Amino acid sequence: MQHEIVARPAASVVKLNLDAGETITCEVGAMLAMSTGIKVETTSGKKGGKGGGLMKGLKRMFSGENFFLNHFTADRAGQTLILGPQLMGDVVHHNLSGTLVVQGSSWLASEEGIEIDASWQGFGKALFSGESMFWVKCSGHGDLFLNSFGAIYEVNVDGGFTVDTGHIVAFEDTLQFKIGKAGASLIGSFLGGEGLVCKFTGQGKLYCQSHNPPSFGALLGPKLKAR
Amino acid sequence: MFDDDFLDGEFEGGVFSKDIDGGRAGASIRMDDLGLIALLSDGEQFFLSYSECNLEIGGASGRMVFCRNDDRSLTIFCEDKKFTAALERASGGELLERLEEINATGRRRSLAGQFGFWGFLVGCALLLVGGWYGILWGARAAVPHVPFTVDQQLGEAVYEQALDEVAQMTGEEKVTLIEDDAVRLPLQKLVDDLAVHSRMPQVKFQVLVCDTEIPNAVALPGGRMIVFRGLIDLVETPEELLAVLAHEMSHVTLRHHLQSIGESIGVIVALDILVGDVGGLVALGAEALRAAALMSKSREHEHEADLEGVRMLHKAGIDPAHAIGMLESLPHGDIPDALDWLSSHPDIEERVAAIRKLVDELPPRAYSPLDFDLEGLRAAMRNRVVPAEDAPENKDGDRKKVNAADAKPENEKREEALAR
Amino acid sequence: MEAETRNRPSFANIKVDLGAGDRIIAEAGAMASMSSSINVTTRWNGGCFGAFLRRIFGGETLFVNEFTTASQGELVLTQPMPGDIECIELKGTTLFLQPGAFLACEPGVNLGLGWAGIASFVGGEGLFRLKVSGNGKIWFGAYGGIFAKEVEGEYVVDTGHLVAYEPSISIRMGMAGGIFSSFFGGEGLVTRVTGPGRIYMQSRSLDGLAAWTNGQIW
Repeated sequence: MQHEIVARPAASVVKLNLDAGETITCEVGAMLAMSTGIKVETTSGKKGGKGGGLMKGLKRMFSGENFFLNHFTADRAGQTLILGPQLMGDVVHHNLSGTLVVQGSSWLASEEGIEIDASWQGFGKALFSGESMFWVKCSGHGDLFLNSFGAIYEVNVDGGFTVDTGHIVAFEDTLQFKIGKAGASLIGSFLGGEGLVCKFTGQGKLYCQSHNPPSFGALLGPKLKAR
Repeated sequence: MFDDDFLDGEFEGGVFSKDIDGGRAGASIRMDDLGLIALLSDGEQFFLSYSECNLEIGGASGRMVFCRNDDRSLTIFCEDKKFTAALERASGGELLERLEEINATGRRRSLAGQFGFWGFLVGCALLLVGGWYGILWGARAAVPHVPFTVDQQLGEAVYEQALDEVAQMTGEEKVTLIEDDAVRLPLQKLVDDLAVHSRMPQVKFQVLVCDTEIPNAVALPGGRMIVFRGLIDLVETPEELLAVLAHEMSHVTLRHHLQSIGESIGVIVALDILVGDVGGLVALGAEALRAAALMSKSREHEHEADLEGVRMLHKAGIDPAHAIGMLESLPHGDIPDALDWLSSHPDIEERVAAIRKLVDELPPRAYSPLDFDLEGLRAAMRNRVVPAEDAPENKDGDRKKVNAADAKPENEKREEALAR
Repeated sequence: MEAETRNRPSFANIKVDLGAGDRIIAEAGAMASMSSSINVTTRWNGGCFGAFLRRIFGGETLFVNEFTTASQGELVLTQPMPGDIECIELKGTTLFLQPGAFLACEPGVNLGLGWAGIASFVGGEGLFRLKVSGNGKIWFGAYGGIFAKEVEGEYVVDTGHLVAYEPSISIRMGMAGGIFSSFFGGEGLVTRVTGPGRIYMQSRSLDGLAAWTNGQIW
C-alpha cells in the first residue's frame, strides 16, 4: 500500500494505492473517492465479522468514532482510494509497530491487522485532560492515519514534555502522562488560561495538534443564534 | 538668534523611506534653520529641507503631521502637539500658510475626538454607577416577589453552617443549645407576642438558646432566632432584651438576607458579562472584594432593622427608648465582627441618633413596662441541667449530671459579664 | 530566541526555541505545548485596571503568560481560531491591532490601549484598539489569511477585515456605494483608510462565518 497526503494542513486528504487483496479499515464517512475495483464491507469489528464486534463497536462510539467501520479491499492491482476527515484539519501517517494511544475522533484509518480498541483512560484524566473520555488504542504493525483540527506536529519526547489539554492527538504507549498545573501556582494556571496541562514523561513519539476545537467554538459560539 | 531655542526641541516620531529596511522606523526629530533632521536609533539620519517640504495632516488620531518631499520618497511624521508650533518657529515663515491650515484642521479634529472620548468615559461612568445601583435596586425590587418559603429553606440550609460559625467564635468544638423548657419557652412566648406586631405576622419565629457568654442574638432567614446566653445575662431590663429581639426579627421580616444574596448574584452576573472569566477573579480572591463592596449594605440593613424594631416596640406598647439604652451599654471590647448585632459598632452614635430621631417622631402613646420575669429566666439558666459529657468528674470518677451553677469556669465568666 | 511561524495560512502556529535568558510574552491560553524545561509565570495584562480595560474593550485576556527557561526548550503558541499569524519587528514604531488580534510579543514591546473613536465602533472595528510599541517582535493573528498592503492615498476595506494598521493611517467609516448597494449589495459599511502607511487585512471574518452558520441553522 502506498500513501500520499496532500493539501496539508487544512484540507488534507490521503491518496492510497492498493494492491490486490490489500485492505484498509477506515472510519465511516472517510471515503471521498475510489476506483471501481474496491469492495466495501461495513462491520462493527474486524472484516468478516470475526471477533467480538458489538462491544468494540459500542466502545468506539464513546470514543467519538462511529459504531461501524468500513473495510475497503482491492480485488485487483492498481486501485486508488482517497480518504479525508470531516472537518478542516490535518492528516498524518504513522508507521505503527507497537501501540499508539489515539485521542477519540483522531483515528482516521489503519491497515487491516491493526487492532483498534477503545479504552477508558481513567477518571482523573478523562475529566480534566480536555480530550474525550475514551482513547482508541491501536496495536499491531502497519500504516495508521490520524486526523486533527489544526496542524499536526510530531514531537520525539525524551524525558518530559508538556501539552495543553485539548492538543493531544496520539502518543506511543511508552509514554506516561499525568494532569498537572501549567505554572508553579494553581491559581496562576487558571488565570493564565492554561489551566491544567498534560505532562508526558518517558520516551516515545507524541503527536500534537496546533488548534483545539473548544477554543474555536468558544470564540464562534457567542456569535451564533440560539435555537 | 533663536537658534539655541529650537535646536533643543526634539520630538518623537518616525520616517518613511525606501532606504530603510522595512520601509519605516521610529525616529527622533530635530529642526535647524534649514530643515528637519530625523535620527534613527541605529544612527541613520534623514534630512528634509523646508523648501521641499509638503505638509499634510492625518493619521489614526487625525493629528499626525506628515512632512513629505515632492516625489514622496521621504516622509517625516510626528504626532506631538508642540510639533507644529516648533516647526513654525524653525521654518521662519516659509511654511506659515500651510501650517495655519493644518493647525485649524488639527484643532477641529482634536476637539471632535476629545468630545467623543470624554463623552464615552462619562457614559461609562454613568453606566457603571447606574448599573451598580440598578443591580442593587433590581435585587431589592425582586425580593418581595420571592415567596417566604425560600427564606425558610435558606434558613434551613445555613443553619448548620451558622452553628459552626458560632462555635468558631466561642472557641468550642460544637455549639451547645440550651434545650430546657424553663429557658426556651419564656423567650419563645416573648417573641411570639411581639411577632404579632411585625410586618409579617404570619411568620413563625423559632427561638433557640445558645450556651455561650457572648452577648448576642442572630436571626436566620425564615424565622429561626438564636439567642445567646450572654445577652440574657447582659441586659439590664427585660425591655432591652425585647429591643434586641425586635431588631433581629426585623431582619427576617424585611428579608435582608435575600437582598444581600440577590445583590451578590447581581454583581457576579454583571462581572461575568463584562469580563467573561469570573473564575479567575474568584481564584484571585475577588470574593473578598465583592464582600467588601457589599458590606456597606449591611449598615443600611442595620439601620432599617433598628427603625423597624423601634416601630414594633412602639406598636406593642413598649417604650422604644430602651433600644437606645441597649446600644449605649454595649461593651466595646473585642467582639468578633461577624456578630450580627454588633457588626458596625463604630456607628453606634449614628444608630443612636437615628433611633432617637424616630422615637421623637412617633405619635405619643402610653407605654407599659414589659411583663417578663428576667430574673426567673436567669435563675432557670443557672439551674439548668448540663449534659453529662460536659460535667466535671466528681471524686468517684463517675460523671454525673450536675447543676450548671456548680460548673466552675462558667461561673466566673458570668460574674464578669454581669459586672460590666 | 528563534521563532518560526508554521502551517500558514490555515492553522498557523508559532514554534519558539527558547534559550537561557530568553523571554516571550503571550496571551493567556496561547500555549499548545512546551518542553518541561520551560517555566510559565502569569501576571496581569498591564496592571490590574489596565487588564480589565484591555479585556472588556481590547478583546484581550485579563492575564498574560511569560515563558522563560533556565536551559533551553521548545514552545508552541497558537490562537483559538484557524487562520494566519503575522510577525512584525517594531523598531521604535507603533502598530494598532484590532481587538483579539494580539498573540505574543518580545519583552521590549509595550501593550497599551488606544481610543479608536465612535466611528470605528459603529463600523464594527471596535471602540478601542490595542497599541503595540517599542522594540521587538510582535505576533498577531486573524481568522483567515493575513496580507499586508502599503497604502498611499485612499483605500477601501470591508468592515471586519482590517486586522492591523500603522498610526499614520487614518480611518473613516463610510458606505460602500449608495444606500441601495450598501444594503442589498451585501457590503454595507466599509472602512476607508488613508495613507501613507501599511495595513494588514484578513481574508475571512468570524462574523461572516457566524452569519453563514446562522443561516444554516435557521
